[in-house]
Amino acid sequence: MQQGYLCLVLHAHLPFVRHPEHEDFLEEDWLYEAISETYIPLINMMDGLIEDKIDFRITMSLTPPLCAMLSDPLLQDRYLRHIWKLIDLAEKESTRLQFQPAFYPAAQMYENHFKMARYVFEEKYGRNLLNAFKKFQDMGKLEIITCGATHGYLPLMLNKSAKRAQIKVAVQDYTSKFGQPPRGIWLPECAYEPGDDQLLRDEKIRYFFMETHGLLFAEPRPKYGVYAPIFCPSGVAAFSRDIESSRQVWSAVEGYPGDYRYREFYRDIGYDLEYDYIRPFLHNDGVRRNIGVKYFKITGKVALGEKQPYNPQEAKNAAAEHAGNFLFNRQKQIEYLNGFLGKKPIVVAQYDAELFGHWWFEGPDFLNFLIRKIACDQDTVKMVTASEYLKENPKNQVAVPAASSWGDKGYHECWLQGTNDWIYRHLHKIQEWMNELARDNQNESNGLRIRALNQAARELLLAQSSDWAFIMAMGTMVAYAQKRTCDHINRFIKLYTDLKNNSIDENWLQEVEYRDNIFPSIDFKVYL
Amino acid sequence: MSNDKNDATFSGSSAGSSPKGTPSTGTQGYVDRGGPLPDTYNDTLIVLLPRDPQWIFAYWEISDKTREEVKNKYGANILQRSKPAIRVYDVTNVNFNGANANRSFDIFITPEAKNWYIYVGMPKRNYCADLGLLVDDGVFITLARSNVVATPAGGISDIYDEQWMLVKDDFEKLMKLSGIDKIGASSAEAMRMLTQRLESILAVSSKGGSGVGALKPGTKKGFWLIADAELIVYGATEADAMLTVQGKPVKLRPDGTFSLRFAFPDGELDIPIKAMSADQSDSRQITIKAKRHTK
Repeated sequence: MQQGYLCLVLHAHLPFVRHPEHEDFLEEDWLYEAISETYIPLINMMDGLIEDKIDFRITMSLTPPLCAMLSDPLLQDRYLRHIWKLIDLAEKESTRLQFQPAFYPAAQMYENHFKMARYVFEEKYGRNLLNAFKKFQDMGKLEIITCGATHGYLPLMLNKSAKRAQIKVAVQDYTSKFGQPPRGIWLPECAYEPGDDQLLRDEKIRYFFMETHGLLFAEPRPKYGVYAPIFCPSGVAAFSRDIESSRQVWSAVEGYPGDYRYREFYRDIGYDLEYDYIRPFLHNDGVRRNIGVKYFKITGKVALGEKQPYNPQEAKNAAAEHAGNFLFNRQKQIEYLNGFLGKKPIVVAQYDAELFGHWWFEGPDFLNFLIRKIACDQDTVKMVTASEYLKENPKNQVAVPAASSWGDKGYHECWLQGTNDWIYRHLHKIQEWMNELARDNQNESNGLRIRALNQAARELLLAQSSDWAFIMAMGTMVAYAQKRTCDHINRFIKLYTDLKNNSIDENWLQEVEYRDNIFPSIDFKVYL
Repeated sequence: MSNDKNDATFSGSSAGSSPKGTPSTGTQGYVDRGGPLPDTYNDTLIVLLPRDPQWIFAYWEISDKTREEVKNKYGANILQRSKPAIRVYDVTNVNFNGANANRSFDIFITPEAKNWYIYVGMPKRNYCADLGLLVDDGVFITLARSNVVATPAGGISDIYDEQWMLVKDDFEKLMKLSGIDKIGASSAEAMRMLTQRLESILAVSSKGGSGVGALKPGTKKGFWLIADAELIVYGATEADAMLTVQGKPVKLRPDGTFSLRFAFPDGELDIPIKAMSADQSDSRQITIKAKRHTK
């Protein structure tokens, strides 16, 4: 008998990184790697489930910058160039390793994997993976939710209209891409402060996800802890994360991805193979980096040089084992909670989508086994989307969630600390200027000025991505994050100044529009 | 803010850096951090942001115009007679008018400082701050007043809901089930996990790996030798012929040449190479046998 629900939520996000001005741009690899290693494996998993008539429910946030990149022709072309190169390399590797039984299965696996990725990307879904996700949503298996327009960190925006624009632009973008308005949202970095829910309500969003303590520390006390949503005073539902299901997957010590049979992330042929051989597959600068072909397993606590060969079949068995263990734990948890609460609990398991495949190579296999086991092996746990849950459980406690985020220490410190606090005075200033521009030019009819105003809105949004502050805090690739912050702010300031002086530099504007082409149909009056 | 920003806004190329979240292996080459941002916006203001249940952040700016006005009003030596300070007000449940705060305290700031992290120590309270000058005689001259911020709750609410009340023991049990004792360790989870794993690898590694197949140069103390072998097979045929090596099709270069590289472990290697003419009327085969024996 069904005793509770499992709501699986995958947050898929990458910052908007698109540099048409460079033939070869390192940071664009984030997208290409995520496509090959995460998005396509997840799509294949869902297609396989549908083919085998396995019922499932997944919730996925596809953020507006990610949607913009997945549907961008330039990046689509570049992805194909990237994957063809990998296919070429994988073929060479299959030949090179064919007499080494310890490595050959992995070499073949990569060859198949890249060829399949190319086929699914180009032929099956016509270069635009949003077609796949939309298909699953239209079939009722996947619920796609939105996020802030550029993943802007809401509690650190001073001004309400800046927050509102992040939500409004996201909802418009979602509606244009998926043919219906979003029912739910993943707040950027799960960052919430009381009152933000009203902005969601204004855009007809019915629910959002937050970090565990956002709900536990709600006022008044939440009767069911994190095992039922609450309604904010605005009427928007807040769901929050179950820590146990997170830890089983995330923890460096106890987490599944650290199992010795899984693929070792840190042994990559970009570093391992002879330079002349691997050079054609590196970036133009010739610096050795990860390529995404890795032949060793985690093995245990040993030096990189002592890692043992990776065995794809053994790793797959481990994923099946872990899926069984995960499900067993959820069953026990849900049975216990059901008895304790006297109602069907909802266990919300929230993860970064890129964990599955990119970081944890076997992650998509794990999900695939898990979903099949849920469907076929038991009936205690039922997969559910937040919308379905609310339909079946329309009565929930009313409370105000607590300010929180899923960042380090649970509040705003990750995005507000010595490495990145300098950005806020500039961001707040250009927010204020954007409001001024919108107010003073709301009846503008000159086409060129309207273009400049819309571009100013894009630059402001791009500068607000929480990714830049996060990268500065993490300490890797800091220069790129600093540059993106400064570039968008400087572009905004020039647009503002030119609009004030009525001296718009059309050539320059055209170049900026060409580079920062996110949200082609944005209307600057969203800042009114 | 003139047109010379033009170049700054377009500066740059790909900085040398590692893929998302990979712990840095050092950056190479030209690093571009973007054009400089304005030092000042000529405002006089103070802004507060919440950081966590105990701390708030303040940044501020004092314009030259404000400085002049203060000098005109309070005397040319006012800046020498006073210390710059921030007065922080607890304005929880108060419609603040400058005089009705629940409590307040002052923080002296250095003249060069542009921002400050302020310990307030109280969750779920509202704060406001004045940027000003504390004059020797105890008078506080306000230059700017901030927005109001609320610190996060940071703990379980002590407010019960009649309709939804749960007995205390049960509630505590539920909180524990919900994982309240494990809160605050979630961000950048993948990054943290990977970083910890990398650290554990580095802890047992003295150096990175070597080539696939023939590993281990061993320790590099004193005199040493590393040797390994791979096999390169190459040749040429008619440019439009179909070539297979070990039964697998191989793409010819436009001039009909080809070159393949094989891992070559100890043992024997059989490499049949077969070319078929484009009209499939003729074919040639060469088989290369190679044997490796490492001592």
